[in-house]
Amino acid sequence: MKLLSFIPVLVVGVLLLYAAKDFPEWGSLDAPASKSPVSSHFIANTGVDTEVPNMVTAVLADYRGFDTMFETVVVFIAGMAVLAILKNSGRKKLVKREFEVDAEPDLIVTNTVRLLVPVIQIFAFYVLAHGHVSPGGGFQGGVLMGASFILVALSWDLETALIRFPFNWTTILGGLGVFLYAGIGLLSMFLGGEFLDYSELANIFTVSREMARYHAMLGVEIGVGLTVTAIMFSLYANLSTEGRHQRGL
Amino acid sequence: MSLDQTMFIPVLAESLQTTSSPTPLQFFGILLGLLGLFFFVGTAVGMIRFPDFYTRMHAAGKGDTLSTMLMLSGFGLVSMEDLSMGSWLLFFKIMGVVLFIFITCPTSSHALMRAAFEDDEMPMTEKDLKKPSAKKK
Amino acid sequence: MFEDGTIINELLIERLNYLIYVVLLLIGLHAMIAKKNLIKKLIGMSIFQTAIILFYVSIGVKEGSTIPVYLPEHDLHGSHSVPSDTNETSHFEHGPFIVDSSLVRGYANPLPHVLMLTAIVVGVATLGLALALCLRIYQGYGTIEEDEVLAKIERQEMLSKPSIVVKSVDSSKTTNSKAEKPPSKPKVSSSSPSTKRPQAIPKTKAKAASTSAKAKTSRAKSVSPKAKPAASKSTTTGSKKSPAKSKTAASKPTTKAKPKPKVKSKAKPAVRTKSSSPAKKATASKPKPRTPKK
Repeated sequence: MKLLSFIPVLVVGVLLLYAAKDFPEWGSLDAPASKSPVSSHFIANTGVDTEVPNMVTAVLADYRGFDTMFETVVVFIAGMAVLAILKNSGRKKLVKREFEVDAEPDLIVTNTVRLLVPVIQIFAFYVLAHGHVSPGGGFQGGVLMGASFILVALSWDLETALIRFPFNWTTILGGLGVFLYAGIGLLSMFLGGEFLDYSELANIFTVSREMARYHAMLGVEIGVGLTVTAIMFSLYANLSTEGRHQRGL
Repeated sequence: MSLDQTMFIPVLAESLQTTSSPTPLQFFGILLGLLGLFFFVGTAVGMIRFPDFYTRMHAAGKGDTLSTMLMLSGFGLVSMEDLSMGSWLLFFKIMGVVLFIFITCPTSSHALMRAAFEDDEMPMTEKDLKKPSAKKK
Repeated sequence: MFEDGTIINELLIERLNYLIYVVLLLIGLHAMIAKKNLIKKLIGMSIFQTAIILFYVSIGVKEGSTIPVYLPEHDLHGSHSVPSDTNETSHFEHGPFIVDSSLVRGYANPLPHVLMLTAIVVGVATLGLALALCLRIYQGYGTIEEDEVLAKIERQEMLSKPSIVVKSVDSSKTTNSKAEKPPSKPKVSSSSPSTKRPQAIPKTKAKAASTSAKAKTSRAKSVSPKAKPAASKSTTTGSKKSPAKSKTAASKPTTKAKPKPKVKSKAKPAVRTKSSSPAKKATASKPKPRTPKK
């Protein structure tokens, strides 16, 4: 079986290497991906269209907003699916398994985490809110935020983290994030534009159409950040305790 | 595009061609980076050569922290070719990273040690050294 | 050897990034096809993903370009940072302007960034979901080795021959979850621990037997979290399934005989790793006083 599997692997490898010589060289300016009108349009017109200096954010949240919305939905559904798979599975009783060790939270570790978690959370907000003008955005900020709660859960235990971030919130916040994203899209639809056409929000924000897109992108990124934060923590809490949310790692 | 044009290390080749003689500050930074590399090699050797978990963690924790800090601060000094506002800003950001590593890296190695101790992993003793079987581990 | 035009030159120097991407992709593919362990399959999937990311970076990178964030001189909000004595003042009015096509090549292509950001996030989500499924499979079958899971399913299907396949899978699941509970407990303790406990107990005092059991299993965790529980769990499911099953199937004795030897052969290696460590620990069993924490 193991030797047999080499055959398809080698066939795929030879085919891919054969195709590799048609790919552009490293750093080539004439690569099709770089020469394509789409990316040139994004680079040239992002400033005019949205006033957002960070093109990646603009492409992510505005030009490809539909894609990113379902991206967020995918993350949300993954969190919900993990919850559904692991909820009420496994041992009902809290029998302590043999390899579990009862350990007090360590003094040095907890104090370091106490020192670091506020910094991490502030940095998460910075990355989220500053995603327009510097590398960053909703996904990255959300992951940082979720990681800070996971850090608390790792250094104390899951119960301590669940006091700070109750498990019900993960479902609520995750749904709220998706709702916020889709709500902004729907709002722009009700105002006369198309779905996720943020420039129609200019009537509400009383700014220019470009700045409306700028601000709507911030709202969308906040929605993404909420979902990602909640689902990251939810994944950790479910996977580390087999869905019981007690006596985790 | 053959090997003798040093295509393998284009960055190094470019830097050798373009940079004029480094300022004293940059020279000091390069020195720090090399020192960090030296400690890093020591860390790697220690990870392989030391016999049990605790001594290995000792090599990894100390060497890793020190070498990373040295290399990062060396990088910060190298990036300060002119003492402009931007380079100071970059230097302070790198120093922030150094501070972060200074706090977290020893803590993480402490946590690992602690976990091993909770797991009743025993440090190696003279007795273990005498037994030929224990040496493998 | 490295002259222009040869295939080695092309692969190793000019297109080294593509070679690395292909190699990474093949490693991932091979792991996904050939490995029996589900977790190893997932690791292969992650490596595969990394290869795809490298591929996108390879075709999207531009030489001499900066990150896709507007430089201050093109930034609409950063016009104050531009020195006022620049002669191209027309460009730096505070207002939108379309970046010149000659300047476009100075920025990296934002599209691969966005696509890969998307791919990474979806990768995390799918990895979490896959881990959850692995956990569930492990709870149901006591193992995450693919062939063992398949063998167990097959055995259960054979046991419930009169019923159709779908039903048998269903019933197996329910019996599994049902069998998780007490009635089989004594059987478990009689079958599996009897193989491993006696080796460890003589080394420590009888009173410390429980703590040492905990300790040695806890170190089994540090070695490989899966190996040990997989062994003991498989014994539980293997031995307890047959009594639960015996109600439906008549071929009880044969099947009951079957799982046991398999179980034992599986439990052995895990036991050995464990029992070797307490042996060493027993020579210097200092930490026992610390074990009553809490």
